[in-house]
Amino acid sequence: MKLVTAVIKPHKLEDVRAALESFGVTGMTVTEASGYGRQKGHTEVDRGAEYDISLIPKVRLEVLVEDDESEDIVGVIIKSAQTGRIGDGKVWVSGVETVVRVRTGDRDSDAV
Amino acid sequence: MTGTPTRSELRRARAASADARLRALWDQAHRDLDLPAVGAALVAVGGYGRSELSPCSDLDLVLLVRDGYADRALAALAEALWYPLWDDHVRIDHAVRTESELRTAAGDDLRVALGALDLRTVAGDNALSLGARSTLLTDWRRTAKRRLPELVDVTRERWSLAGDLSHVATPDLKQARGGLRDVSVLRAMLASWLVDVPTAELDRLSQELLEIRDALHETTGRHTDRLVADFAEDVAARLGLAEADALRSSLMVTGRAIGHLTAVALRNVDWMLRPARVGPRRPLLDVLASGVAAYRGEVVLTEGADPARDPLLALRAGEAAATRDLVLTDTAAARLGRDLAPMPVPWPGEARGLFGRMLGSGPALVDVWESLDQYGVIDSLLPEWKRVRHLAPQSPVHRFTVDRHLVQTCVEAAPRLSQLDRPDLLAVAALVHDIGKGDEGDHSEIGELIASDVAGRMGFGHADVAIIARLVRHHLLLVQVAVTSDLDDPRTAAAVAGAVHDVSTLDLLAVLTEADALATGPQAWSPWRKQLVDMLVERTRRQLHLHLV
Repeated sequence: MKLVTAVIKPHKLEDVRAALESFGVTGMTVTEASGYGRQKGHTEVDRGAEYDISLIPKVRLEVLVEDDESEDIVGVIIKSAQTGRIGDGKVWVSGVETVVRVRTGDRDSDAV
Repeated sequence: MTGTPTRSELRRARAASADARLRALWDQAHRDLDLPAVGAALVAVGGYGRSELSPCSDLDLVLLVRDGYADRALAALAEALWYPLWDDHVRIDHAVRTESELRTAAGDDLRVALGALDLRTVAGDNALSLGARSTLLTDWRRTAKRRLPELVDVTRERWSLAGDLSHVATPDLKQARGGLRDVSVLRAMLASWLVDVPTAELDRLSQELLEIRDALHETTGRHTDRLVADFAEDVAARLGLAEADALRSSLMVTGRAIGHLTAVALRNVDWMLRPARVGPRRPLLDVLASGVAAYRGEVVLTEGADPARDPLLALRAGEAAATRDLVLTDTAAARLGRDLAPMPVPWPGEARGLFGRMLGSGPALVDVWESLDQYGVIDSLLPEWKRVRHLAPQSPVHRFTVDRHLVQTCVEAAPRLSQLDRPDLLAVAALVHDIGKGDEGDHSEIGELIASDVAGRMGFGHADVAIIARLVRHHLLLVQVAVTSDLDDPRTAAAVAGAVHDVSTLDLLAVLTEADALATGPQAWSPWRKQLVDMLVERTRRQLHLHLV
């Protein structure tokens, strides 16, 4: 199993969610998050202004998937979250040892 | 008892049954352990002391012994009483105390003191428990001047945490303002002989709340006081009510009445026990405005006041009370509700000024508005209010009913009003921003039309009416756009700028958005949301300035 984590712009959440649902993803965890990457919190419309490095509001999205699906899921997220501007976010994939559904005790593929 | 027992009879029957079980355990222990017949008593306190046991109530018990009772015998007796109860999963809240320990505990801890006022012998040495009860009651009366202010503080703190039974979305039947804990507070005040409380009324209201709690326990099968929305239909059905709304309505009436009795009692304590004034004596009646005076911490109508000829009197009284952190007496509010002359339409400028200052007064607005509303004054000033009165929120994010949320939005906006060019417009918009709720359709669009009528009737000019209507129409715009649109796209700020028209309205909308969210509940105004909204406001402001130059 893999955990696909994406940090994206808040307004792209609905697009990403719709794209993932079309792909067959049935569940995800969404959290309000803040952070910054290379742009240090600056945006393209902030030109001319002096800013300290600031934490920019983002959305963090987590999806548990089968190993062989993770690359496709990453592709779906990137395609639907991309605006082409700085601050579009990141997606990363991590290995998951085991997954258990709390209600039934089902494990791994059966638990997703 | 004939026919189906009432819930009140069942509460007493549960207590009697618990008494019988405990007496049997007591007698058994005394036989087995060969203990003396005097010197120890098992006493019930709190709700069990009053024989008011709901289906899943705890048994509040104290094993009371005379000072000097043998430790070993006491330990054996406690074991013989508590273990069989634990084995049977009976929920007990228990303590073992000597007479003097109980007295000290009651002196240190208000909850012990209040619980002990209902002390009742279940088994054992009746003279011992009667003596203890008498001593504790005497202590309570002797120290009332010190302890009642403590009780007032604790009660107000509890209210601020648990909210108001008649307004919160998930009411706590015990802890909320107007709940069962308030009934105990009022009984304790009554027992002090310093404060008078209408006992028959209190008993009736208390019985109504207990009925609801019994039905809640029957539904959930648990010891809980929180009326979660999921259980409301079932609880209502058990009480013979057609639907959850009828239950909510009944709870509001009862909670409001108990909350009001308690608030009056707390104010009486404040007044009676206030520090003596140093310096020259001043008259007790302090005239605040024409026809309105402060008396003993409350606002009253003066002798010459004539509501039937003075349509602004209610607003003068409300403004005087709210801006000075005072409350209106029931008598004044009732007289205003009964006799107040209709407000001329359009309202005179003085009325708008008074209304705006009252709405912008801060937390004191809540009680003043409640008094005016309870006696029909709000209906005469703002007939549209009946659309949202006691209206349950549609979303679990909301902590208040719609009417209370609107008042709270004014309270949250109050500290920010001084930053604005037109606080009067914001105050009215805050009060009516959700007035369109309750009907099918977009409440912002419905509310825009109603707000326009209200503002016109209040005598605002056309431009001001348009701003108030626009604020109501767009009160969700900033949050919706901030969370769902690309803030880096200049078209986003341009669209918001087009909706608000000018910087002054943007400033009003920004304050309304924050006040609305804060009044909704903590989830609605996370630092994350605030930052997104702030970014949008800043970019929209820049957009509007670009068009100015």
